[in-house]
Amino acid sequence: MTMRTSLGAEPVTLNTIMADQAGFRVWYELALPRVYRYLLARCGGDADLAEELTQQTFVEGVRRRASFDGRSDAVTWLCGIGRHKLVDHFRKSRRDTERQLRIVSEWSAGQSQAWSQQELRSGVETALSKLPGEQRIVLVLRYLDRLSVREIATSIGRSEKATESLLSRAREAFRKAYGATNS
Amino acid sequence: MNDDELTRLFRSLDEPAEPRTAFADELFANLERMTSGAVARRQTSVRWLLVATTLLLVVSLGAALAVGRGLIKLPFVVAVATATPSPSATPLGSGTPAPSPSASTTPTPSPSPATSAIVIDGLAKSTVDGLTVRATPGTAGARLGTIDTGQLGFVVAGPVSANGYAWYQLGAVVVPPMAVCTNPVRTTPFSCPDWLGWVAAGRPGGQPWLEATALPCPASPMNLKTLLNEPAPLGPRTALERLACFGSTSIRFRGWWPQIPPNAGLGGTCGPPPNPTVAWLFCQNINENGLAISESAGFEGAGLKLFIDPTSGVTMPPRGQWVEVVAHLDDPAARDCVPAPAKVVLTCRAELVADSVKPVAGPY
Repeated sequence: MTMRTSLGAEPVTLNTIMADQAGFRVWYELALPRVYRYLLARCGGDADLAEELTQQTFVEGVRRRASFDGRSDAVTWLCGIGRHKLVDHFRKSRRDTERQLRIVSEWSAGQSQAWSQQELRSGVETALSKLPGEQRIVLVLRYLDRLSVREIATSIGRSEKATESLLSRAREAFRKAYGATNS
Repeated sequence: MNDDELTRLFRSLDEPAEPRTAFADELFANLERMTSGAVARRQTSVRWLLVATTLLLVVSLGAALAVGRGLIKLPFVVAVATATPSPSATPLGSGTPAPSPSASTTPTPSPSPATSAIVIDGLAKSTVDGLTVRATPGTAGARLGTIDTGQLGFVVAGPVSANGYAWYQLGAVVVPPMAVCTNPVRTTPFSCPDWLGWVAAGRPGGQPWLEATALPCPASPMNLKTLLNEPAPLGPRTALERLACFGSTSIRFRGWWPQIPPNAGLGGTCGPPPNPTVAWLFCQNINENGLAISESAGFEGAGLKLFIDPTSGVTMPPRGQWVEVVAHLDDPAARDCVPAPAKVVLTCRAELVADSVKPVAGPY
């Protein structure tokens, strides 16, 4: 059996991929950077957290592989799992503020090197880091994942009205934080 | 700043990024372990399917030949055994060691730099959520559960270097390790405070996952109320917190030696001790030497049990009066609370053993 490992031509199911160890490795090496990048961008550039969530995502994906029907891209499916992990993390993380403060200080040190190509990203990450976890995740889901309010509400387990309200507060908080960071 | 501007800003976050090679390799190894059993089962299924198909062909061919030669006349029923292949790959076995937020990445030889302050018989606390507790040191150790930020642990042993991490054996300090705890205890995070396991102290060169910590400790002489830290908003000082405070040093305190009320329901057995020589230290539940913090608290109120080594010659005075006790924790006999589980040893170590007890007029 010829394994199709290109991400553009996914094999039918993950069971099929994982049945062949060599094929699984090739698929994994293509899928991992995409999932990692997806999560790193959404967790404030915290590489440790991105690794942790990536790991949780793949483990969950392997466990639930039977539920993947092959009608969509497997990495997209994995990123969906990753999104849930991310939401869970920000909802329950009590030490979030301290973690993000650490990131801010790291970025502050890095900025002295005048990474012009990263200044925009740095400013966004710094501003986001000052927001509570739930505000941060709804902004990321809205403006990076382009999810609708209804989809965000489903993801975070709130009503649409409550989610819209949360988004509104998050936007306002981000504007202030971003303005302060870049003033 | 409108929605388009926000979208533009947030897109700046989505830049190419490559995971570390060591992380990628370690994760793949974990996933491969998860799937290898399933692959083996699938290969076995395929082999059975081939055998069954061959058997079916042989039987069919034989039947056709028999019919052709007139050995069997139709109609007839050919009973062909439908060989059922064994089930195909199933999801993971529960015994697969799941990777942890903590110790599943980057094997490097040096221990975490943040571990130097953690000491045996001291306290340490988790600095992250979801820190995995394992049955043995190393990422292959069975996963018992996880602890969250701020969770205190009594440091029983360590550091042990495995998979590039420094591992410490921690016991929950929330309640004494032998406290009754509803099963199942293997939950994530632990819903039951009775846990004992190995925890990685952090990624080398990275954020520490464990840090040493200490609680305020009272100094002798004191009243039992002070020793217990009673009343306290979050409950009295636990046995392992006392052990972390005092170790095996002498403690002098005064407490009320109460009368035993009628129908107190005392007595019973605690089962055979692991070692008969330490039965006096092991059978905590039927120990009647409970000291109270005050007359009003009485036998049923807040207090602490005192243990007496029968070879020490220590005796208790008549009940119903204040006593001054000199005692110690971490009695050497605790090490003989084996071969019971390690947490029983820990329980024995945390018991208060009397060196002397004498009547006094009242508290300090």
